[in-house]
Amino acid sequence: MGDEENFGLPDIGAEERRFQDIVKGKIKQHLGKYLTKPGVLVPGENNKKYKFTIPEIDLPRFRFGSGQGAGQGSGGKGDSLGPGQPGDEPGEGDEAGDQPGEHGLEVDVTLEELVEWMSEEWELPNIQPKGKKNIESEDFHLHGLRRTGPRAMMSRRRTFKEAYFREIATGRAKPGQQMGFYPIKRDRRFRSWTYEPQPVESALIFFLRDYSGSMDDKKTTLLRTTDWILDLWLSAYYKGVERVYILHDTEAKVVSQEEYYKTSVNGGTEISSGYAKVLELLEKDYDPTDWNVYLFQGTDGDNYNSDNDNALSLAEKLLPSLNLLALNVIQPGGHGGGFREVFLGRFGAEHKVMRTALTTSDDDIEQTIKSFLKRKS
Amino acid sequence: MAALTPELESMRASLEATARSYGLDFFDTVFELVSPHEMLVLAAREGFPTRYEHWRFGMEYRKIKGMHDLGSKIYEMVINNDPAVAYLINDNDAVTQKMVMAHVYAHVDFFKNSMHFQRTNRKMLNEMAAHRDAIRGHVRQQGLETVDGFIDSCLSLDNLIDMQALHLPREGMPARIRQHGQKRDERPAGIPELDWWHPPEKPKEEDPEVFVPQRDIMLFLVEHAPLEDWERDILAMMREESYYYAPQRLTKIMNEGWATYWHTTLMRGEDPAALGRTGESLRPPALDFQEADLYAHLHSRVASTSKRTLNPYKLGYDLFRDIEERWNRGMFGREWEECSSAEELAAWDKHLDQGREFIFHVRESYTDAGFLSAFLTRDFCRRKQLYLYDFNERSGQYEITETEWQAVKGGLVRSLTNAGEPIIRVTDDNHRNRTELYLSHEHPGPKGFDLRPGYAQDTLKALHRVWRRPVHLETIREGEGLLISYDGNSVTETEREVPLA
Repeated sequence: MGDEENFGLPDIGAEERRFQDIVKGKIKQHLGKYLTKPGVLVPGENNKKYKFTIPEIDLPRFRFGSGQGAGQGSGGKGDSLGPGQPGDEPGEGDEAGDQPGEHGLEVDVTLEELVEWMSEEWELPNIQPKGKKNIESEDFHLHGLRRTGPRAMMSRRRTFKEAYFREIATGRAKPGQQMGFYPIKRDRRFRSWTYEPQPVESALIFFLRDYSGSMDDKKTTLLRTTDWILDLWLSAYYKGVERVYILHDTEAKVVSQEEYYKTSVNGGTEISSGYAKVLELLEKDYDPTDWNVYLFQGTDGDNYNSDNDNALSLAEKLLPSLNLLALNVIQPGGHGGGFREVFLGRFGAEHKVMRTALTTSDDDIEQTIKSFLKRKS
Repeated sequence: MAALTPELESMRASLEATARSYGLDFFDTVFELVSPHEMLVLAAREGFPTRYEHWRFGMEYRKIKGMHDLGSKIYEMVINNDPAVAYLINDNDAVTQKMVMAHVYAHVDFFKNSMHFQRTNRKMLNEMAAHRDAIRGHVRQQGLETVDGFIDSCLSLDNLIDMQALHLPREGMPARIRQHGQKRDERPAGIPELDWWHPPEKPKEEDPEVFVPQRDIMLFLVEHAPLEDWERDILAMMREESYYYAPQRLTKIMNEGWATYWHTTLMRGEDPAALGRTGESLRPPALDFQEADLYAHLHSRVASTSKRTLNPYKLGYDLFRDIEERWNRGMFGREWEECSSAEELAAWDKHLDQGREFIFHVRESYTDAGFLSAFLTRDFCRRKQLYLYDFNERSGQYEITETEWQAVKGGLVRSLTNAGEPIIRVTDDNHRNRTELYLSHEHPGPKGFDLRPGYAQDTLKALHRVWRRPVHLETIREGEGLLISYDGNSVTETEREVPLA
């Protein structure tokens, strides 16, 4: 519709997109918080789009904070009018409008966007060039000049320099003289670019999950969500990584991705069985000299005491082959079995390839992943 | 957008004639026929097709569209402008269109006659278009992010205007105002004291040593903040828009009540019960017998009540009806108030028949706060089952806290005073002799007047963006004096002695 015409109705699409970008920026900022909200991710299900509900963005103003109001209808003093959420809490300075309100705004985010946001902060630590099977990885580089290219890529400095050289060469200008001429077509120089292959790397990821009887629904959900976020990110960002899923109670077995995310509880716990399985696979199928090996292990730490020594010695045997052993101990409420303490007691908190995290609730998931994947500063 | 169809045009013409015959006095009104989608876009832009571009309108659109998809419908939208502009949705049935037109004419009458609107810009359509063009220009020069960010900051401050000075001439505002002094003499008997008049807050004399506190903080910033030209321009425009909308915010209940009163009267025809009372002859309803049923359904949606919000259409309508009846029967004044016989009170009728005439005066003079303060009676409060509620932190529920009429009335009036905004003044522009800006929140004490902490801090950040030096706000939280400061890096909150009142 006519843009300049007074009564024309301009499209609102641009403003809608701008708003969406702002919302996405907010989600990106607090990705962990939004990603772990119930219902956003379903472990094991690959969606093209993810629905995020964020509270309405309210511009901050000096406003009264009470939940008081007036209404109309039958009812006496003390009668309930339904649950709700009043004003914000003190001290949340930078989060105006971030409280769950009555109006949620739904925004669709594609998997690509999601992964992009994740990967800006995370990376597989200690990755080294290894083996024949490659992780594809390309990088975009601007370098060099050429004589043809798109206008937008024209290097003005070089183009004028060329023109200057030409003028001097033909005797129409003297060095040091001010320019009184223009570049012609053959003076033009354009920046060019290439995709450079990155050093070849190959990665093998073990997901090792405890599915013993003590892993109740809550723990399992926490663990699965964490693993699924890791899994999503890995599959989208590192093409062609090899992933192996292992479930263990007192015995370990290799399962498919689907089974890994669907299977729930079984018997007792012997963490050593999981390590033994990984060792066995590394000996039989995957040569650690060809692979960067990552082990993401999840458990509630409730191991049979009799098994602790065995598990630790197996872990010790395993460590030289690993780039990372990430032990995720799930303990809702902050208490549970003592395997993490035993583990830390043996290897110390500063071990080179070992990282541990304690996940007690949804809110910790982001921190857990960050501690596993944080870039070295 | 299109002009009215011939059928709608003839409907409009006859409604306009009827409305004028009742004494409604409105600007010429241009009706535009729009599609449902266009209506949503217009609603997102607060009615103006020529609004500046900003992400918050995109958000509004998403919100309104969401509600629309759930079945909520926007029927009516009208712009305070001369000529007024109103929108009709092109797929509505004839009954709806009639009702909306009647409703709109009453709104325009209100815009034209309420004294609080006298200084609004009646060429706001042009003004808004000028704002849009100016902002587009700034975006071209400064970039979208920069301008958007600055607009966000301005909007965070846009309630810091002097709502009680709506009647003062302001720079850049048309100096058109009627003489209220003359009008006041024509008041019929029994009008309670007018609520609106407050002495303007204005520097008394020019003593450069003394800083005169002022409530129009937006103006203060436009004049004194170290802004670049484009920033000053945007801040001034945001202030203009805020003043333009202020009277609408101050008269929401009255304005909607007035419009509902008149669409009802026009649609149903003169109330037979009131016949003969006003000495006017019965005008026929604008609807035929079959349409009446549809209309009843429609009206019931407009006048629905809810537990946690007061419907301004219904409350305003009921109150105007109540006032009309009281002034018809003479139910006011000393004699009425001192009468203690229930029987006498029930049968009270002095046949004054001033109701209709009187509500015209009411619509001219009051804001919502004064309207309720003057006319909400115990009887009305009981009949309409009004109450106050609050959030109970222990139960996590909203609960009714007051049903006693004077408490309810007090709470309502308080929540409507200053359009429900805190009263804040700038009290020093050279705090600690370091050009720091100092604001004071006029806090009457009760917890209900506490500011939302997170919001207050973020607003200070916006203020700092404009003032560019440390900013302070003195307020009270949970009975304790508090000074919130932002120095560009961090927010600090320090306790402050409250001088005993």
